Amino acid sequence: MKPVLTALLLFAAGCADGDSAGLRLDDPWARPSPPAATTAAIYLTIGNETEVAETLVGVITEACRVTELHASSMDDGVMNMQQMEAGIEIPASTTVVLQPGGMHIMCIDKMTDFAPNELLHLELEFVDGGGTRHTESITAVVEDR
Amino acid sequence: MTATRRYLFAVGAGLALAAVAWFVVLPRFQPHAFTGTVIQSQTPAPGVELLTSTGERASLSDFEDQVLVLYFGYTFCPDECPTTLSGLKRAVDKLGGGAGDVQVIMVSVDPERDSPEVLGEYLGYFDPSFIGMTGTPEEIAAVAAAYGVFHQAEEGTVDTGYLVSHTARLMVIDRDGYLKLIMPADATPDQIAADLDYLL
Repeated sequence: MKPVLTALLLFAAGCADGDSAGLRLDDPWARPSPPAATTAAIYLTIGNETEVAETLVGVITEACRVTELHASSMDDGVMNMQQMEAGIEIPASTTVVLQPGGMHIMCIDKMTDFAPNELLHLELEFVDGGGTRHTESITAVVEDR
Repeated sequence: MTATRRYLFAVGAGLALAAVAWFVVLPRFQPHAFTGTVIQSQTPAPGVELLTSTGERASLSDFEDQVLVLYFGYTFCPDECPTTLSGLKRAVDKLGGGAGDVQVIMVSVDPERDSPEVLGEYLGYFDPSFIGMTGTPEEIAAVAAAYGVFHQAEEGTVDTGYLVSHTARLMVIDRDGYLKLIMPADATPDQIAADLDYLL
């Protein structure tokens, strides 16, 4: 009986942790970008500690005229980039990393310099598994990596 | 010093010498292990003439006695191209005095957007020594074909217009003008620098 009770308590604790922590938005950054470049990419790590899937559906920032969610992929040495029209899904209890050569927020028509150490304020729009829309604010740092 | 101590000292010194030989001397005699794929070219690399970001027409065969790193990319590319160029800048910086004998060239796969001026400003941001090359769509198609580079405009959105899928490799041409190495564009700066250093 005791092990069962312990397991139940651990399960309950696990749920409570996930519910309270929610989404983790870590390490947002962008590479410094030449003034001659009209585009840039913004990266971050999204941890979904909830019990339902979350989908990043859009990003609003004054740093870009418009943003799109894209995924770069290498196919036989050829680099392709596709828009993720349905957004970027972060399944329950999963971490998704937006990183160079992979998924990223594409900034189209930079409205700021993307100079080293600049801070970019972003509003990330998510839709959770229940269809509820919510917005999370983050600040990305421009730095070379 | 007793006989035992002398014996222990001799053993210790022997072990130290063996360690130096194993970890320091031997690796210097190992052949360089290239990260890139080595090409045994029978003929010099194709010297297609294009318009450079410095405003003149030049052929790839005009860069005598320099190691060329050729990359095909475009300035509207938000992710892979700046990542590759940033890595190339780090790699070149690691070469120290040898950096002056390396010339990084980005050939635009998007001549419609990439004028020589745009390319010059774009590449100069990564390193003042980097240069760009562009031309008519026909000239770009010719140079891409000569180096086995795929490039194709893909329909984008109303905001991106179009994006360009392209081969993401670094082609290294040695001092004698022969295509010597093909490296994945995502090789680390250390790997790129080690291969270039060996060719210098």
